Amino acid sequence: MFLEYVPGKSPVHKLDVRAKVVVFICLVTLLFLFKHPAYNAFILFSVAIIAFSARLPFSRLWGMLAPLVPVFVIIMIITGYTYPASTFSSPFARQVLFYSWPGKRLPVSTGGILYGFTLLLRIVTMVASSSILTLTTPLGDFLQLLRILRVPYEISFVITTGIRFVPTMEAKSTMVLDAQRSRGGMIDTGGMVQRIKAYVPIMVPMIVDSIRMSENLACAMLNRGYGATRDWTTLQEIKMTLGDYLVIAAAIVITGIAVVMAQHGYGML
Amino acid sequence: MMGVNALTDTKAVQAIEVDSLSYRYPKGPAYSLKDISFSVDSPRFVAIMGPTGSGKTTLAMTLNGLIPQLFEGDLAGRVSVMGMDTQRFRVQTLVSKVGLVMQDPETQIFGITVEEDVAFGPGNMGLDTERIRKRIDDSLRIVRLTGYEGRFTSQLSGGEKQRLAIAGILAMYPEILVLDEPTSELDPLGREEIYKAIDNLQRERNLTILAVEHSSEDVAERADEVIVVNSGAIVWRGHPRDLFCNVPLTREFGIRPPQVCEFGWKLHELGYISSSDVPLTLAQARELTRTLLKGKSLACQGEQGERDQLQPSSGTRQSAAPALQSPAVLVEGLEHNYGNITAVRGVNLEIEKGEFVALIGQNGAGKTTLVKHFNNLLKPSGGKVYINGADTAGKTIGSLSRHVGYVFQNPDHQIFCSTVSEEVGYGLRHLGLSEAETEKRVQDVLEFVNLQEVADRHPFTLGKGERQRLAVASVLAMRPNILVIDEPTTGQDWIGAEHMMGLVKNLHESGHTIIMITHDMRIVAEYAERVVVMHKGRIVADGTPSNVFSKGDVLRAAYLTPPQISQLAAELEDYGMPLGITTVDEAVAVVSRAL
Repeated sequence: MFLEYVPGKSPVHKLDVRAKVVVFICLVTLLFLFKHPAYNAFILFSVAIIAFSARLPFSRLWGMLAPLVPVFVIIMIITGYTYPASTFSSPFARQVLFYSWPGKRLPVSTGGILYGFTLLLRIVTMVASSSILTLTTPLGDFLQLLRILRVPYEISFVITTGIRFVPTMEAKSTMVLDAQRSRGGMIDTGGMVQRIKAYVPIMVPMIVDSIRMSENLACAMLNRGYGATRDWTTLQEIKMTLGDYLVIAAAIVITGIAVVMAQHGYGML
Repeated sequence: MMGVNALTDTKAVQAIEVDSLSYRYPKGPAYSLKDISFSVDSPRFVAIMGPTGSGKTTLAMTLNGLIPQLFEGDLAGRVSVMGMDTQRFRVQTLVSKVGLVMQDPETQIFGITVEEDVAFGPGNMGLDTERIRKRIDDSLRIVRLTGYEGRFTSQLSGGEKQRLAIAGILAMYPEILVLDEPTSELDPLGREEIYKAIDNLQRERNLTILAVEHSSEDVAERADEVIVVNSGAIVWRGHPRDLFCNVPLTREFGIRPPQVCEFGWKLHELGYISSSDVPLTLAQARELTRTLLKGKSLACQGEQGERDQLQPSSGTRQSAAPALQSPAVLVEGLEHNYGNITAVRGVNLEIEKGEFVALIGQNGAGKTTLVKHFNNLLKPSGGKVYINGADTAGKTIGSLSRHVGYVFQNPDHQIFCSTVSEEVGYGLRHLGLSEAETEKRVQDVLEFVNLQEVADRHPFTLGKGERQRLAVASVLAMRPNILVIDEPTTGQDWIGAEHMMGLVKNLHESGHTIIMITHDMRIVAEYAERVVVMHKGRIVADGTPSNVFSKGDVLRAAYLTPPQISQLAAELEDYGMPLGITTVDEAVAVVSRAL
């Protein structure tokens, strides 16, 4: 996920990681304040504008969302049925749209459908906004954030190394898979149990290799002076600019206003 | 500490001083190093040579204190670098004096981008950002990776990763650099780049360099000294010329001498030159042969004419096999794309049954992509592949494994059973054979690769060479008649490589069609009947080794270097030396005929 970073020079890219995280938290708060899909649609629209200004590849965003489409449909159906009209306060939402079983059974309310939309919009907005965050922020900035939050160096080192080795392990697993299939191993056939058993020939060489690699890694860390000093220098220092402060202030003010609105019944069903 | 001149009091101090060093790994059956003593004064290039398992890597790890600080065990004697005892100073302190680059670059890269990786070491030392920046620029320039700063390390080639691993160590500004087989896994271009970096280093930083290296030709060109290690002890030490030019001595140590030394030694044995005239480098061999041939003519027109009958290139090639038989492999207009990168473009290739084909080219030329289509590990983006006359489209990898055996480079990527015979039987379990038949096949195959003695042992207790034969056996059990063998000799010493190639030769003689990917041009010249050169996804040359190795321009364009003896022949072309000489014996025969 952190390797997804797409370099760019947009205002979103330039924003400090702290400002971006604050905006992200505010956005999530807003999403959960309002139940009405229209409000959430407005939030999603704002996020889309941000994504557009960051010149992000929409195809990639869609690539992340596409697998979720069946989930969306299921959510719509389930909420439609499971939220009885009585749970809503507005008369509009209390309307029963239709009964799916003769004898006025299994009613589907307008509110249920609308709330289904809200849930859907919340998921889409969260996926989109977290993607914007990771796509526009290099890993180094996140590590700086951890540092500022006083998370020990060891932890950020583990995170970096873990992420660094994802492509390596992927390449290794492809090699092992190819080697086993080339000598007649059947990996992708049979039922569930057979498939799990078929993965033993993949897992054993992978584990053996990982042990060997971790030993080498320990050597290599020492060779590079890991642990020489308690203090550790990073390449970049992140700095807050006036713009960053303004963005943070705006996000907090907007969220504050939204809380007041929600308390006065706006955006409810 | 920074800015202290290295000259203060190091003049009197030896760069490396090893005094009666013995070492045994924890639970190790025997001592890996036995009473080793040597010293190196700066700055020199010292090569450490010797067969696999002789203790070279162990020795390298004692030099910066990894042994005994990370790997404990029994250590006796003393090691000091730049006057610092490796048992008294922490590894993290010693790294600013002595840098160790290990074999596998993959486990030495910590950064997600190139510059982050180089910054890891200086960052650990607590230098400020400005100094780190300078060190990044400096180190990347020496290994010729300037401009790569922002690149993802996961997207570098093998050779680039190796150079980055060196840069990461150079950024610690060590005074001694220890390299453990820096080039053994690389293609010829990658090797050349590494040696350019090493040459740069010597010129600019005046470093002491110790390199564990199998390639005697690279050692002969630049080492000031060679240390030969065997069974944990130093058995020889001296100038490379006293080792390589004494061919019987190299044999004794299991080291393969440069081809020009073999050439010179044979001329010496025939009485044409004295033993002190045996050349060490290509340039010396050229001068020697020119002097020898002065005023004489190399009359070998007959042979020349014979060699000049170039075989028509790919597709239309005639073979000794009966025309009625369908070819073992037929590739028609093959294309393969990974995303929007085209790895193989418009390849046509016909390989007859029983041929021994070497597939050469730099990394990324498309060799592996091409052969992975032979058993459907990859499916064509365009074009057709026929195996024994049948289209591979729609066939499973499993069903093709009975026709095409694919032996991968690293046996450890497939070994998972607890006994050798179980390992060999793995693929057979899916064939629905009877118990007795499976048993018999396993027996036969183990006998063929000479592993019947260890049938019940655990594969991981075997040596590297045995594990590799086991990998071959597990593929042979499916009884394929076509074998694809990917880099069978990479990372092996001469003896290991000869053993493996002996097995490949046996397989060929027993009727298998062999398709071998390799970077070792000497192996190609000695074993292959036909060479196919790939470059940028296309086949750029196809013919006999002597035919292909005489096409200097094609090879150069594909970043390949012919065997040293072919290079010598090419440089003596104006003396009437026939092109297309690929072995030392051919060269000796041609020259001695003129004398």
